[in-house]
Amino acid sequence: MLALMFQVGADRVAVDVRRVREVVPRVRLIPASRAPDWLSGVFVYRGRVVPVVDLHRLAGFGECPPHLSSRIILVPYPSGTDQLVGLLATQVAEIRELSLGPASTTAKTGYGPPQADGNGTLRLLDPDRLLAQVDLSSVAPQPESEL
Amino acid sequence: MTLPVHNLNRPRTPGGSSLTVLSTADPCWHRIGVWGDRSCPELEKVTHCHNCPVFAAAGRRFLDAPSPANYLDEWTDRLAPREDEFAGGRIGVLVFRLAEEWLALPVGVLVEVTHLRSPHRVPHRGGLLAGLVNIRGELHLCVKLDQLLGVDPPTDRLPTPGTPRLIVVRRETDRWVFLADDVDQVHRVSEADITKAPPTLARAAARLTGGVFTKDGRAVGLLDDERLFQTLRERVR
Repeated sequence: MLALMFQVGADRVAVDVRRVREVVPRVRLIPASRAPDWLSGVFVYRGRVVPVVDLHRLAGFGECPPHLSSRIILVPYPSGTDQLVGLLATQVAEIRELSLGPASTTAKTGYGPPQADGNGTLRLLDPDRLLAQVDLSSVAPQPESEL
Repeated sequence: MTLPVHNLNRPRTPGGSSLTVLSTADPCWHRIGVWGDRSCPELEKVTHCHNCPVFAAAGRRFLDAPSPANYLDEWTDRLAPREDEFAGGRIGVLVFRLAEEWLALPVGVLVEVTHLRSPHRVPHRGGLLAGLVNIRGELHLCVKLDQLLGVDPPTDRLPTPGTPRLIVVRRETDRWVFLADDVDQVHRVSEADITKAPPTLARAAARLTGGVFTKDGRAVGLLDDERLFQTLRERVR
């Protein structure tokens, strides 16, 4: 599996590239009102509003550092639709061929168990499961309506 | 890539925050690597520090720097507009030059553009076949594309200076290498901008040219990769 590698807090995380639409640099985000702290805000991507979830905050690691390597990973969500959700993480700088063992199934949180990867560990992320447990309704665009 | 190594040793605290980055990397490449005494045992495996994961990881630390001013605004502006103007068929083509002729091939058949090396001639085989070249340990047939297309180098004046490159192309199982006198870059052209090749193109090139488009003020002939590969297969075997 070809995987996009990045960092969330102390965890090295991999996500299947087939689940990723595009990786874009950080942009100026418009804060959403009455939003939980893990929802960094929204931005306009190619004429539509895309909410951005800070994976660091969601995992309880504080705010995602404002580094050059911190980028927004755009994933289609719900899967198969044209709508996008941005995932903010850091060290988004590598795509690698991964061979993962049978332990790669992900838990309810979206993150799989740590697996050995060289000297460190990495966890596989399933964006669908991760986003299924957060409530994006306050910022989700109405499907097929004028924005 | 040569990293300005001194930066790696200087602790940085961007924006007064507690982020200390780029401080812990040991510049081992200067101590025991290719810029040092070459005693690193890893060199046996990776040959050069450029191939070493430690060096790559150190390079990636530069991305731990805080993003510069205007960075957010610039990208906010760049990502916001709709992509309508890019809608419709657009194809990526690599533009290169043979003698005085600018040509293009769809990126779908492109494998790599690599630096020039002279092909090993095959005894008793001349014609379109220039010889064999070693590309990453594999032997490839190198063909004279200029001769196939009838693009003759001008004999009355000096050839236009350029940076000759070898271009490796593949379609299904066929792989060919040819020499280009200059390689421009990959351009994205709209299918609507591609016009039919003029009938005055009275050369072998006419049959292999799928269309013509204008880029940076010059006419570029877009080669029909299917016909090109077919012709090569027929004429070089």
